[in-house]
Amino acid sequence: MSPFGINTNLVKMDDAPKSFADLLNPKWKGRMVKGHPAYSGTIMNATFQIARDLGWDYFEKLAKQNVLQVQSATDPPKRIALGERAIMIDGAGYLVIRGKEAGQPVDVIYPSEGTPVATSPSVLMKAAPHPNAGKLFQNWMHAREGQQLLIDYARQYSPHSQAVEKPGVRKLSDIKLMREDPEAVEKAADEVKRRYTQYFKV
Amino acid sequence: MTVALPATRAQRRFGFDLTKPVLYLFAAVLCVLIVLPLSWLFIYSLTDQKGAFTLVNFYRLFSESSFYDPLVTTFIISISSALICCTVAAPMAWLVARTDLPFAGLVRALVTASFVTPPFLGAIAWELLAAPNSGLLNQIFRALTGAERDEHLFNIYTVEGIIFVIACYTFPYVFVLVANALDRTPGELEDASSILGGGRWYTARRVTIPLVLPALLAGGLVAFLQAMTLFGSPAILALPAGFHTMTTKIWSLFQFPPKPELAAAASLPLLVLTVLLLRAEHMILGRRGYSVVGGKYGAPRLIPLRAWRWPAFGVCTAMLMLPVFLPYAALFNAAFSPIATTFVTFKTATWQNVHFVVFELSAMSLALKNTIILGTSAATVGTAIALVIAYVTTRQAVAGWRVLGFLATAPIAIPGIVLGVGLFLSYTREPFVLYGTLWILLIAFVTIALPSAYQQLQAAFRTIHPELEDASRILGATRLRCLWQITAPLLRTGIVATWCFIFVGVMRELSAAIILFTSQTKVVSVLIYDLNESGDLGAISVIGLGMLFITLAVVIAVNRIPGFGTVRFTT
Repeated sequence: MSPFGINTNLVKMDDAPKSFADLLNPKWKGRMVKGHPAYSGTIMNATFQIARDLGWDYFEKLAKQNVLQVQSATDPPKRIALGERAIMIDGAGYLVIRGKEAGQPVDVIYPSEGTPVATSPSVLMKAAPHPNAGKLFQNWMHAREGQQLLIDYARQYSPHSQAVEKPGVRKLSDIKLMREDPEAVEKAADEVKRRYTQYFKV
Repeated sequence: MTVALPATRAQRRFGFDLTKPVLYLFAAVLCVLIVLPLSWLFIYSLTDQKGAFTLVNFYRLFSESSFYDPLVTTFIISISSALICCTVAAPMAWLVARTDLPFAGLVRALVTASFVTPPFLGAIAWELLAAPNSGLLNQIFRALTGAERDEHLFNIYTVEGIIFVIACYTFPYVFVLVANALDRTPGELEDASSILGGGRWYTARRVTIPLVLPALLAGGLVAFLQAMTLFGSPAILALPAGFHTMTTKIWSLFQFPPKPELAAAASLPLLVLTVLLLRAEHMILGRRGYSVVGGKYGAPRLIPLRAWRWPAFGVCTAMLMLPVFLPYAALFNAAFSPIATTFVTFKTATWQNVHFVVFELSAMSLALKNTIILGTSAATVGTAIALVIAYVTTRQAVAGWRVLGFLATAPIAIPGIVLGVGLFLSYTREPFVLYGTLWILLIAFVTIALPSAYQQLQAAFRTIHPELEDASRILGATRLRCLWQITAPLLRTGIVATWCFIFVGVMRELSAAIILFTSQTKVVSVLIYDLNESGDLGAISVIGLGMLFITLAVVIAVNRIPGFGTVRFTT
């Protein structure tokens, strides 16, 4: 999931942007960091969903806000923790949650238009040497125990009906999500990169 | 009374002379190393996705601004950093080599330390220091002047920032060239000028400086080339700054889905420019190139600085703060601090970063193992090849030795990332699918290290008179045996120096490795780059300091072990 993140030392929760539209406010100019879709699958996915739901002219306006560009989805959470920028536009949400629990001055915000989301796929190889062991593992992984492990240790979200969120973390059912569409992302990848480069110059 | 002895044929130990086949084998290996990747590069740049001949790749290169802008940016960055390097390094070299600067040896050592620091590590350290909001220097500035939270003195995420960081770690090249030239200038020439009435400064102006001008120009060209072909520093600083250089653009073409044809086409301008500049440098320097040869001339007379001694030393130290003291301090701070850009105090100092790197980072042990294996094998193979080829060209032992000499220095003209692309294209197809193994990295590292290894050993060969080998050959040894038993032991110092040089070079090589690595063949430089991509600055600092420590330990150990002599890094 790719929500906003803020550095609570630099920005108070009340003043923080709560939606993508808020990000276009001139007072956030030069204070934001974002991942780049050409270098990260998570960010490619997020950028595609934002562009589909809010249009490419949203990005044209966002590019004028002097956004710090980084590559990986795991970099923006670190940047706001360092205090280099106040707001993260997209990036690995689970890292911000873990950082907050570790005492870093960060917090998540789920944008009101919807949070970009990517389901992590898992795969069983056709020519695997131990296919039955693989099937057993996948069975366990998608049952309550495996899914709870993901929540407890990685702070990922699970749609499993019996998995329990950690206290202090918003429940999956309470978050408005954008719609996922992996096939469309694959077809549009080059186009997304091209248009992004056109607006952000890298 | 004379006695005529019957002529006896000298007895040979082995049946036949292995010399010629071995020498030709080395020559063949050299050809394959150099020519194969370049030919694939040319072929790919001229074909499209389906394999048909086309010029559209080049057309896109010069018409689309997303390709053309990086070309211009790279040019600007390279020229600026070359100029800065020359302006800073030349006076420093003159102070160290030609005046009675106090602690000149220390200054030289610090320049070596700056040379040994990988440029990408320096870039990360300067990120810690000069990032506009979180940088340590900017924090100090705000604390001292009470400026607003948004204000900053330095912003490393700009073109100027990149030029500065590149210049920091490229100026040793200019320094070494100019200092060596000054060391070699015979004292007799300056004495002659004094005898004829020229004062100190007059001599410096009219005799010394014109003598080293070729070296300075050559140094400037080398600095320009280094800056143009660097990948690490631009990759770390350019994207946040909002622009591409040619090297980062080429690398971005390898992101999914990869476009090798465009990457090949984008590599060619770099290659052509490098070749042209090297031709120019060759014409300026003649055949002297880079070498340290023990002088047979008198030692140069040092110019006494008198009142300017300590100020000059102060200026040199201040200059060396930038590539050495400040970045290392920032790395130390980040290594032991919970958040990399907060100043560490005794209360907040933590071992968690060290713990993370040593125990939790799963890629670390694999990367370390790969790096050590590749470092030692590349150093050994590279030194062996360079030794044989240097022997062949110095003693002109086989036909076509001129071509071999050219091929051995040709890789200088190939930027690291271009070589990576060429090797990728050559070895991802039948029959030699080496991509994904350590072999392709070995080939890359040996090819990159070969030119300087060759030049160092060639210079060392020139100090050995052929008489020694002739004597052994008259007594019946083959060329190969003579090389093994007579010449190589005499070259011990040079061989060890070359071995260390290649080993150190492998540890800091990123431009080719970034294209050729896979998850099982990661090396430490790529690991550091990955960790920077994910923002783990504490871990990077620990690994980077470890790397520096190992490198310095190797250099110092080699200098101290009796019998190895003193090793001075020359490029």
